[in-house]
Amino acid sequence: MDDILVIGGGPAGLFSAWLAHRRGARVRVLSTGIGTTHIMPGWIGVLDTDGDLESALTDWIDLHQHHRDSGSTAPHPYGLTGLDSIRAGIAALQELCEPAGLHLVGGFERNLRLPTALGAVVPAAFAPESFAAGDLNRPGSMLIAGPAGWRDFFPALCAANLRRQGVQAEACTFDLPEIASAKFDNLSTGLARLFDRSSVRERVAAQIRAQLNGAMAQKILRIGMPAVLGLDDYPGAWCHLQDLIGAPVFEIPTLPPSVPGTRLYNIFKDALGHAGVQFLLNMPVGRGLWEPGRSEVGDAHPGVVSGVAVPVAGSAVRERVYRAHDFILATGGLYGGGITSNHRGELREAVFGLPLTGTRPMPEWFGDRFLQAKHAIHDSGITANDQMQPTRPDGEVLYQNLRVAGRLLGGYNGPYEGSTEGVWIATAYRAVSALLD
Amino acid sequence: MSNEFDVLVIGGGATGGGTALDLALRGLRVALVERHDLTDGTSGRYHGLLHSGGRYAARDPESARECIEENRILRRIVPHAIEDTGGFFITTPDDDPDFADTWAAACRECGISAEEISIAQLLQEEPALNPHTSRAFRVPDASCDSFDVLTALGAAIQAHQGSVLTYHEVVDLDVTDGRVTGAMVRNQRTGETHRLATSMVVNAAGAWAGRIAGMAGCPVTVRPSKGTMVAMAYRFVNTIINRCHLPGDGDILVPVGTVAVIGTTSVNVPDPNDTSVEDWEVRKMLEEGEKMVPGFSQARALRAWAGVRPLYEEGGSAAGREAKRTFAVLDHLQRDGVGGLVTVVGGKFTTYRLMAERAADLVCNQLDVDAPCITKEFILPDVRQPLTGVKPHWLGYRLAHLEEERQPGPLVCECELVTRADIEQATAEHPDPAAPWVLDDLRRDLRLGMGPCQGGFCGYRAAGILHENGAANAEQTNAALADFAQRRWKGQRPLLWGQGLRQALLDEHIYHDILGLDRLDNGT
Repeated sequence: MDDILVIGGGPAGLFSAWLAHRRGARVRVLSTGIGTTHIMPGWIGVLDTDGDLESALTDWIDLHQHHRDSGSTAPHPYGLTGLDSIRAGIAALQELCEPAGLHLVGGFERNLRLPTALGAVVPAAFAPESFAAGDLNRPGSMLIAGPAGWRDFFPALCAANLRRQGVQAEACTFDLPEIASAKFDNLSTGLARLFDRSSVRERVAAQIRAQLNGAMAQKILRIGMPAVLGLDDYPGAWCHLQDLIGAPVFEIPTLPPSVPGTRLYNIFKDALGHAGVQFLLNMPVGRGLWEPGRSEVGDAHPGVVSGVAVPVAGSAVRERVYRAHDFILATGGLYGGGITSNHRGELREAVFGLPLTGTRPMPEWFGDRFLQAKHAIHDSGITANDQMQPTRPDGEVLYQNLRVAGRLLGGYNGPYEGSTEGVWIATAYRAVSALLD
Repeated sequence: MSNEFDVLVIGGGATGGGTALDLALRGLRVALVERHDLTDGTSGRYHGLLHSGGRYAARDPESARECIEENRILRRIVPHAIEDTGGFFITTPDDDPDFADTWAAACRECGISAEEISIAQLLQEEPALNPHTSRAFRVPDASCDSFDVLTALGAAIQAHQGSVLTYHEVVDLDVTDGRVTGAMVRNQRTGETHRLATSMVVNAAGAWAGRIAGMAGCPVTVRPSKGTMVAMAYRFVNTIINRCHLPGDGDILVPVGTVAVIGTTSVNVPDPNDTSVEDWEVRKMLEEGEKMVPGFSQARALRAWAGVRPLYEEGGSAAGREAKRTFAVLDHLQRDGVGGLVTVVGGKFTTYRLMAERAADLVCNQLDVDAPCITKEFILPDVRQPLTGVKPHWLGYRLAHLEEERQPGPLVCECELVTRADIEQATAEHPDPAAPWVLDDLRRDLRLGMGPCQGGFCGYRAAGILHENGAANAEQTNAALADFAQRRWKGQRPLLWGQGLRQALLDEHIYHDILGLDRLDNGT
């Protein structure tokens, strides 16, 4: 029997599994499929603020720890984890990524300001080193370059929008004849595999160098390119290209599938594989098995999860049961499939039917404006305590050996707080610490 | 561009487009004036059913006869916009079993072929239908793409020296000595207003016809009736399905391309601009769909939208389902003492050509033009390069097209198989590619963003191509992308649950988290 069974193969699940293994636990991961690693931009957003990140976080946590007692919505995950778990979680992630050559740079003093493919500017606390030269806190004009005719990156539009915000930016394209072939995989990942080849990098670098030596000349201090600079040969491909061009090169994330996210996924997968942790894909957990708790006056006895059942493919009735001492539920939110919804406006936690908070009548889930609305649906999710145990809204623990991490938690609006990555990192770290400390 | 015309036709829907073409074919200098894009009003918001007339046979035989006659004509003159799906009328357990015989007799009266088939035959052809269906009749319904029809009408008008002025709103009519002599039109993009002089005006503004007639002091009371439709992400059926009962809510299911559209509701609205979709309407469509196709409400719904029918009865007061679907051509000289103005209102998409013919007849009569209507025989042009041996509405058309070209170039919209070359061509032909609504116009031209991802991926790609080709600067491109994303959102917003909700969260992630569109100053 495993010590810890992790349900969910997204970033929160995989990170939890690695953390638990590192602490000496016997771990296994079950996942329906690949998670949100493959759509993540690649940077680590902790909190959207222009000022000092650490003091903003401290204020935020103070506010939300006090708010916790007020009831109706779930407490903010940072209020549960505290600043320590955010810091320690990111340090652990850096430690995991370091040997694979993925250096996460940044800090808690001030957010990096990174350009998007559209030329907007997004704040993030940390980012891969291959993003860092794009930080707009640093001065220096840039050249945005991309393959001519590629559908997922438009250098001229990116540069024009940056210029409209006062950034000195030029644009150019380079020829990459491979992408015109009917057989070419036109996604970011296809392009990244091209950049794994040194001959491709040499051709591209020669074209960009020619641009730099031309009319726009000496004033360019850094080169921005779509985040496709190597997949298997990362960071080698990026470093090599930078050396060939002779100027700092930075990556800009674009439409999914995400190459930076795929790199992170591969790091997780390889680390777990080397550690002998089973990571089983195509394992949709159908239901949880548990002994119910008892509630007596003044004395609550939480239930105990005994296992989870996965339907056997091709059979309507047979299922395979996985048992463990402890369970980490990291199945994601409405996007990831940890919470399901139907046309009657019912939301349900998919495995245990855990109570959800922050839910509202269906017409209030989304606002009428697509991009300004801070849609209320984001607030819905599981309520947990500071041990990351799911609780009823009144704080009563439901199952003593179950922890929750990641987007399944309620009480936060990741996209609009800029906290998406910070929350999965901190809650995974906190859940594992609470189990193994 | 000339500012003098023989006839100004107001309204870029099927009726206005048809009337303008009819007049152009009779040798008149016409201008078609539309405040938005062609088909932006009711014509582009319909379910896509080319009626056999069966729906109206029992209650409104006059409309039914018009429908079957026009159905036969349209199949001949605009074949590239019509998929000959055929149709069934079925008696489900929720329908009065006695109605079928009454209905079949009414169809015979109107000359509509309605052959009864066995339930076994029905289920063999359409296995998704309710197996407890008791009666089934085959009728000559078809599925019709109104965007393609209007594109063809617009091209034909221009080919016959007519002008098509989209994004030009009529803000006033000039009335001199009891006669309409011109119109003040505002260019929506520049905000500039100028005068168009004309001998006659045809008011084909549909649900907005009352407003236009009012500008000349003529009272016309249109009763706008809103109908909501839902496009489901699966085709379900290859034949149009009608419930065999008096017309009601959610009793038509139309296969259109890769999707199936269920419609409609009928809600009287005071404001013809009210195309809001209410929650009860969506629930009603899903419930009614379930009666035709078991499991319907569990399937993924893609988009909901509403169109506003321009119901009209001269002197009558019936509204909604009670109102007849026939049309009226109003001679305002006779009716109100105002010359130079004709209003054509009411009717169905299916009968647009007949409405146009009657309106054009009256105009020619008043202008003393002696030229016969030839639209019954005038084959509308297919502006795409047709593939030999392949019907344009065959589902595999676009794929076959891509594969035949060998060098397909990258797909921009994977759901609807739109290529970069398609976008570039449509942009080059667009009268104002820097306008904020340009991507939505490309959608009508190309079906860009109409598939399951609802613009999540292709929006950025199409915007990038616009900018790269110099059609729009960055500011204009951002505005166009924000406009497109918001319009796609409007149709998804009432349907966000299950898989569609997950897709919407992915789209939000792309636009907000990855691209940061809303962080740009005009990006929302």
